[in-house]
Amino acid sequence: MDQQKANVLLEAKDLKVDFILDEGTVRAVNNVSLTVKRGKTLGMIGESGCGKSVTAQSILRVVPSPPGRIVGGSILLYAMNGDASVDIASLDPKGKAIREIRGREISMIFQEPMTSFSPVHTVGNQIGEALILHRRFSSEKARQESISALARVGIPKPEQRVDEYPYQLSGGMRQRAMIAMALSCSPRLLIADEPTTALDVTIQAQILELLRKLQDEEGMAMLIITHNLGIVAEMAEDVVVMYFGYAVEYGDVNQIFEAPLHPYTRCLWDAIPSIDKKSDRELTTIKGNVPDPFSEFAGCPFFERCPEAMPERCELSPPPLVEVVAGHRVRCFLYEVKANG
Amino acid sequence: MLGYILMRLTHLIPLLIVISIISFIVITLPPGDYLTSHITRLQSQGTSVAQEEIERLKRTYGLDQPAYQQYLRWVYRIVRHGDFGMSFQWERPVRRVIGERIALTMVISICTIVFTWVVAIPIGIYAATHQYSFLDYLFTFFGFIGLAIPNFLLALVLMYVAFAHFDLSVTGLFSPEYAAASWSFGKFIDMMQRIWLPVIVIGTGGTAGLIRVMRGCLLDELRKQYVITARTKGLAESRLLFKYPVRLAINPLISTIGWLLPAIVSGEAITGIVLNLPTTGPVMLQALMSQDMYLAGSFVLILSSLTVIGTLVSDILLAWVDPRIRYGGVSEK
Repeated sequence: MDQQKANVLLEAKDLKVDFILDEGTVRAVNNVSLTVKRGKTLGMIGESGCGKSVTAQSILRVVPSPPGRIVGGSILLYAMNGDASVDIASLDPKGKAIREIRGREISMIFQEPMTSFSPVHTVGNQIGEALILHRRFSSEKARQESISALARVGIPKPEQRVDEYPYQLSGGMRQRAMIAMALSCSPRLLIADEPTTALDVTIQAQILELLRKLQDEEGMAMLIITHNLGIVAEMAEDVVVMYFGYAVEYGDVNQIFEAPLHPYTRCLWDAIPSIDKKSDRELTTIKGNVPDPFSEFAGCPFFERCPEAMPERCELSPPPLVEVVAGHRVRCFLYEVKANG
Repeated sequence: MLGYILMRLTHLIPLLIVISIISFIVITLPPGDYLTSHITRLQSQGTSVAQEEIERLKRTYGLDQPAYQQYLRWVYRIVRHGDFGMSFQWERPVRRVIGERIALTMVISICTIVFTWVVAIPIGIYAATHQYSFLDYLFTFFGFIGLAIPNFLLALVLMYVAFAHFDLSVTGLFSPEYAAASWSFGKFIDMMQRIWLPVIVIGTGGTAGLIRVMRGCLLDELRKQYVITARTKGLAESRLLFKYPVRLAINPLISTIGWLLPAIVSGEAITGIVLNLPTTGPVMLQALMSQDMYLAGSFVLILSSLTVIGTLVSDILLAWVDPRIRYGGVSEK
């Protein structure tokens, strides 16, 4: 158990984030628990608006606030030796403690490499900034370091690119520069919020390849947020499936892909088109739509769309979190029976 | 950058030529000329004017020549000697009439622009970063009042308050003892003691407008992704604010310099009359009413040129702060 614990880098427990708006309260993240292991990759999947990004933003405390607010739970970041931990969820989002973590311990890259850079500052200026801030580099040293960071992410002619502006770089190059920026201080965790969604397929593959190579070199952990199941299968060791602000299933990648438990996960898997299946068949879809974000459920939020829903039961009380196999947890009534009986 | 400035300067030449032609057309458009209105005035006073006298005056002023020749002569003298022609009404060269007034107008305008920016930008930043706070609403309230009150009314109110409660006479730019004196340090101090009133009066509307622009632009920028990116790097909020969103939100303000310059000069006219300022506004109005064509024409020409120059200055500043514009027009590589 202690051995297992020493491998944990970041642990979110029962994290709750609300968005308090004029129209009502959106419960964006509901009791989400997840674990990121040192040097490993956690894949987070789910459809748009399921709370993936908000969970990630909570880890760096950059949830737009107001209206967003962490209303419960903890996010523990463990120190090198594995004993001491900081509860990020309890830090002042504008305070010095969280600023020391941002960019140095945990970095983030985003979906839109286009808008993630300031258009009026050079690439080098923006990459070197974290180095000047956290490592107290001189601006000349930061520039040199930015050049080698650009070289490391495979940008040709880095000594020229470093003085260019973001709009002079292509989308793929910009995402590479973004990665160089995030990794400039060798963080222990890199959060990648849909890092390849805005890129075309060939560039996607290159960026993922690059991320994996850098992970091997740096030994950092990654949290990859995506709605692309293929990326998760390829990149992640562990997977968390999100639906409507809940982490409905958590397990290692084999468990999740070989033996999905939650009906939602199974529906997702069924919806993947396959070359083997007959092509004249229509794509399988999940019936119904994602609920309105303002709606509140007494029971399981997936109830209305669930093919295995048990009336009464699923509708009335929230489903429990059941650990079906060691390390494979699911939030569903279907397994409560098995666990008990 | 140098290439960009040179390109913009060459664009300036045809523009100025067109402006001078239009200025001249505008001042010759009203029926009659200075002589006809002068003669009417004399006749209404009972003085008869001999035909030979009229012809003689026409020749002296060059009014007997066709319009294009008058134009060419006017422009030639401006370019060659800096001579804007004679003012009929003042019976002095235009340059002498307006020289000092233009300078004082520029002083007031520049002070007003500085005042506007110094007041509006911090307030705009505060209002955007504290959106919907009490002070934000307060600034909004006063901002709209500032926009709604006409300058001259504000001038009258301030004059009344200063006179009734503080026993101060705040008209004019100089105290009586300095008004006719030549420039000295004392006169400068005297002007600085009085300049605040016209600056506030002329600047209020612009300040209020600029606060709204700054607040709106900054609110837009604050929501952008690059702000979050910078935050995830661990930057402190205040440093982040000034390095990224404020820097980008100022760009639209820079492009307002172009129209700020002439707006202040013309907006100053009514205020100038009310406050009895030795600036261009009052003289220009008189010149237009009495068809003092070279004087009026010179004003139109100078104001239009100021607009063009203001636009140029703001464009160069913009290119300087925003690389996207710098590389848009000409490639430097």
